[in-house]
Amino acid sequence: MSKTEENEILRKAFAAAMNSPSSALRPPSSAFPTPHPIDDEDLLLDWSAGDLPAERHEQLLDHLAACPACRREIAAMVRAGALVLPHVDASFVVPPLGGEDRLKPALPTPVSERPGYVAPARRWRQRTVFALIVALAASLLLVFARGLFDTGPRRGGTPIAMAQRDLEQGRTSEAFNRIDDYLSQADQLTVTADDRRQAAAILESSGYELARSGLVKGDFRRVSDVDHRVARHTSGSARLRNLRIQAERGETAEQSLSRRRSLVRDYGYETNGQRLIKDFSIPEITATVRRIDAEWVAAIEAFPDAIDLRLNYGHFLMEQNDFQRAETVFAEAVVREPRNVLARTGLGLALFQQNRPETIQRALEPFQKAVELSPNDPGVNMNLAVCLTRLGREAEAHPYFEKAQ
Amino acid sequence: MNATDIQNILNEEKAWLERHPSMQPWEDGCRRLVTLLEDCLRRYSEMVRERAVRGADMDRPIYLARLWQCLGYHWRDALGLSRGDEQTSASRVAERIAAGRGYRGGGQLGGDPLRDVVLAVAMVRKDQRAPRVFEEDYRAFACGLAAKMHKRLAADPDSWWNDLLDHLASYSGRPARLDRFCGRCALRNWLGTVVWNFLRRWRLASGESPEMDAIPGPSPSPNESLDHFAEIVRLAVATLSPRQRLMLALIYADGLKQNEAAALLGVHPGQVTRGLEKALPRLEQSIREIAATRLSKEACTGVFEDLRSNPRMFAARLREALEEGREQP
Repeated sequence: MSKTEENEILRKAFAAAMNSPSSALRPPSSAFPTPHPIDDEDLLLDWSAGDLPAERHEQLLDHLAACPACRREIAAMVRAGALVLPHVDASFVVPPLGGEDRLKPALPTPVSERPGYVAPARRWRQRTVFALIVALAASLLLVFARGLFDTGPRRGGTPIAMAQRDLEQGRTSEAFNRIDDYLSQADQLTVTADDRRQAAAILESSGYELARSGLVKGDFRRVSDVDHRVARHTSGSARLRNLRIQAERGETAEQSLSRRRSLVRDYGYETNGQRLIKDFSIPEITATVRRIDAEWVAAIEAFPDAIDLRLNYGHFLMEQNDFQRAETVFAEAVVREPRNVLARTGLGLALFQQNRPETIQRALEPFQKAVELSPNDPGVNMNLAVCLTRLGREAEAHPYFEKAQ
Repeated sequence: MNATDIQNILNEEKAWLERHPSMQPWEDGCRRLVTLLEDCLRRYSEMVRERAVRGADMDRPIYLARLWQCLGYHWRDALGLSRGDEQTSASRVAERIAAGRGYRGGGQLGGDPLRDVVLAVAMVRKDQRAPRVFEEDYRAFACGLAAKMHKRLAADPDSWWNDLLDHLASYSGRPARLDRFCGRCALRNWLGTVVWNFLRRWRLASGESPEMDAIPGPSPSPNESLDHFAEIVRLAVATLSPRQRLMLALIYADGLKQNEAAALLGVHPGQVTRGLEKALPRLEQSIREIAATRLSKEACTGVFEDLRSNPRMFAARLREALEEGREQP
């Protein structure tokens, strides 16, 4: 019998289990100590109102774990909507305020218990609840059944494997959240160094994709949030840091920048060979700009080999009209990656924008190199053409203008 | 109870009340608070009674005391979570809970508990209009619960409805259950538990056998190999911790959704997801290990072939194992 057949059999077995829910009404078993919680209406009402002290709740759960009759009855009440229990939702947690002048509640019951929660549209829910239960639980059971008797490596159900699968199937957000949760709990779990490394890689990849899509949509807050969450579990990522600083620029300078005509397009925002075009702009000199400048410097110190950081920093300096520093930055980028078209173009631009005969003359060489490296790129052809024109060599510029069209 | 009763009640709670800025000076604060309660009473009593409760009505202090019990409960919650500022004044709290919003973690109350308190008192005080309002609001809800318990209860609601009203509002002289409704949540939430328990007891008292709903146990196993496998599943389930078994039983045997199981266990739904992610591989591992020690390869194959013809048998054994709640032998 093949594994597929075995899994199919188990799938049917679990489906059968889910299609025959247990009874709502059975008498309490006399094998367990009384009083049974289902007979204690006040206890249930306290529980529903969120007034059950933690200790009693623990006792209640201990009883339910040992008393199937009570468990079935209470589950039936919950299913029917007769017992509405407080939901624990992390987003609802309000940290208690300290201080001498805080008013003390006079109730003997603790306020920290969860509230009674009533879902809206309960009647509608009740009609569909059974179908939902079956669908939800059957899918979970399938996950279990699929892995049952599988002699291959046990990766199918681990958070890492699931996150990897999410990532491969384009569910970036799910992958990121899953692996972030996993790493948040890694200290309490037994996680091998290998697993941790693998999880960190998935976190960085999915975080980068998330941040990038956030940047494209102008959701700058998301970029910062992702970078922050990745940095909690890893030593950081150069490309994410790059995106975050870009996002900060977009967030702070977005409204105040004005356009100006330019020789070339911006190559900011991008990384990994994909370019997102952005207008070339003049920012205001503000404290924010100085802070971002410092962040670039720090990022480049932390990731000296990340060429994208240098390129974007160079562009940032050009936005500030600080062409000499930009020249230095681009020159360093050229030294590290001589075949990088963007580095060559940046160096040429930094020199050209200094607008002196000798610097325009010096700009010619990097523009020419850029054209050699990327002969079909209209942008770099245009740069060389304009530069030659400024040097009075219109005839030489003509073919590059042609190619730039 | 006379007109000064509400003042006496407030004086008893002066220790925490007077610390709120809105209660300064004390006499003025109390006056404002009583005015607020009277406003609530006038508004709600017009909804659920023949006429609004007036100053000379004998029942007025009772209504005010119960309204204060409700408002005070939620006010203390509000103050427990923040400093005593304008946002936590009694009027703001009353507005908030009237909109069905409580203070315990931002949870929903399921309705307006202030209005429900007035209805509860009107029911117990036998106001003429209150039972009609109550029936309009809650009879369908109670019938819905009855239908979930047993079809026959829903088919013949008249057989138990009057008994339920008697249980709640005491028409036969016994203690009225609604007297103990203090507005911690809306009446609908409170009634769910009370009506369910009432119907459960009512069925037992009326001689209905609870076994009629019980799921029949697994039928005799068609052959020995399947019983072997069922025993393996049972042993594997027993290796889980009691809380893990409880969680699996709530979801797989009792059919709760994950968020319902999480609420029952008092944890965030994410913890249930993670708990399943830990428990299921462990169960799988246990089944594999136990099967390796107990069954030959041929026997395993035989079990699978039996399951092909009778998957319900395995399902029943799995549920049975989950419901046993046994410790590891």
